[in-house]
Amino acid sequence: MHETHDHSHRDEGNDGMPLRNKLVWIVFAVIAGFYLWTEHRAHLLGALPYLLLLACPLMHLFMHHGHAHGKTPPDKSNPGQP
Amino acid sequence: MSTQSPAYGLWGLVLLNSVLFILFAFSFYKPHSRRDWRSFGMYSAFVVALFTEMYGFPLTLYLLSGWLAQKFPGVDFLAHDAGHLLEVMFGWRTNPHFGPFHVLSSIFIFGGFWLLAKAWHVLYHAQRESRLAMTGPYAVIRHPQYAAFVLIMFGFLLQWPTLVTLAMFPVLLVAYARLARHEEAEVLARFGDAYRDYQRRTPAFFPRFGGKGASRQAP
Repeated sequence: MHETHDHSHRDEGNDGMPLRNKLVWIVFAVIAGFYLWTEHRAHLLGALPYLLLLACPLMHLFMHHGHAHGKTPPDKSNPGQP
Repeated sequence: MSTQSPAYGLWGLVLLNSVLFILFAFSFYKPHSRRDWRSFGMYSAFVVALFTEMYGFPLTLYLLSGWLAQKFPGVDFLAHDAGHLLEVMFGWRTNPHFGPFHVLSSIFIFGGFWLLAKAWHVLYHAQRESRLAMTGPYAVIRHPQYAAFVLIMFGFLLQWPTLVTLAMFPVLLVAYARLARHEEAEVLARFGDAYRDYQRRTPAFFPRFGGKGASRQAP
């Protein structure tokens, strides 16, 4: 519940994302930007395995993040309001 | 640029791009409820349809090829660049990846992802503490995550319009609006007056600039 990285954004009403989330966002954005801007041609296919490899630590980070928090919001009792 | 390799039939790129953009959204949306999954699923369908045309099979270009060839003689519509249709039609006719529509589209797409991430962060903490999310993006509009999805998809439309995604877009708008309405009913039932008060203060989708006045976001 009160896991280690919890207090990095414990201050009430804080909208700032923790560094880790920002990092993940930036990595995603860089890869996405790479795809949107570069010539999307055959040479990219050569990079495919590396990019997938790159995705692994990224996903790990995220999955781990999810676990560390222990409990996810119970969706039944608290309907989200996206 | 388009000589050595074919521009379409690149199913690896279709897969990779779809997975990337779906994962990107997933990481910062984290669907829980069935409704979350529905809105996420609709976004995913849009993304897959888009990249299938962008790198796999350019259905739109085939269907419109006669008209396009007449209107824009000399454009090689089998090359990737021509698929950035708005650039071809109204843009600067340079490398489309740096044309006005592509730049605008990138702003919408990354802005959308940023909003999605921001809103998720606020919502996540609000849900954990069983309170309403009313700060950050939620202070500006009531449904920032749906708005984010719409911004992202609108960005993609600017960049690479296709018949299929153009047809999907209004359907998705209506679907998101309905999901939002159902959701509000649930949240109202749970939080009552607190939410009613928040509803009064905060517009649903279009932020108020200054006093009142609509925003430029798609209807």
